[in-house]
Amino acid sequence: MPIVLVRVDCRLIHGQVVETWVPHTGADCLLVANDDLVANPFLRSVMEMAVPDGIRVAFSPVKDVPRVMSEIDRNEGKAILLCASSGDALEIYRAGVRFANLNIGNIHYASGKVEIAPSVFFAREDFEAVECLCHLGVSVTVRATPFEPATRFGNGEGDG
Amino acid sequence: MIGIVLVSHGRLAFELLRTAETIVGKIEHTMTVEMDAKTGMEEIHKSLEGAIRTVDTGDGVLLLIDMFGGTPSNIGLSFLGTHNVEIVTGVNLPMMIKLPMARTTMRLPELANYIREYGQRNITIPGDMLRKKAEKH
Repeated sequence: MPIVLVRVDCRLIHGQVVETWVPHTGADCLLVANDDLVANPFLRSVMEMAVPDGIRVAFSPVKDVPRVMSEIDRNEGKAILLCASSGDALEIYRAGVRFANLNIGNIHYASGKVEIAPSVFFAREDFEAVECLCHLGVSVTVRATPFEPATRFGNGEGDG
Repeated sequence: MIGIVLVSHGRLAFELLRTAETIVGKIEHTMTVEMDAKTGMEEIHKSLEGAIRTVDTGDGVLLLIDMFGGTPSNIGLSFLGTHNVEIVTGVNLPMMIKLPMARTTMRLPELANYIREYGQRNITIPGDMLRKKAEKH
């Protein structure tokens, strides 16, 4: 199953993803890589309920994304891969998922963080993870929805 | 009395309550929780928990949330298993105006049901209503 978007979003599945990125990319599957959700069936079912019929949802521990992807790979379709932090995105890349572009949509504010975009605030770990990803050849783009201008790290095509 | 907490993106919850209060007067035991692009999920969870605790007088709390499937609803739903709450999503002004009277005569599950139906019934296409009326004559 080809991945049409890899996105860092601390809210994982929510309105922006379902209402803008899913139609923009034509995706029919959301793969959520998040250890907390894997451990919390109630929150998983809450997020699943937010997704319209016809869009498949799969959850995976961050380190197991390659395995879960190969399991769902037999099906035709397009997937959006969601994770909650830039560190998780780097871990997924290092686990063997080779994506060329990374979209950063939402990383919430906390004291001491640097504002990158209205919905994206970087801690030191985010700068480090993004720098690693850029160094690995990933083009990192910051924007919440496909309709807004993007802030870009590195040189690549962007998030799609 | 059943407590009310409005939860929304942006300033919607606050403005909806303020607007309703200009029409029907002060709506007691009611709080608003709002989130913007900066707010983290844990922070919203904490604010919402505090608001629920504040407005609960023992009869439970009705959470009115702007839309199903957004972050406010994803977080609000997590209180269903742990607190005496009911949730209605897609809150609108007619619902808000009906609440003060309805909450004094109903228990929480009944109130949630009533407010949902009232809100749905008040989404109208007046043009259709007028055309139907004209057809009858």
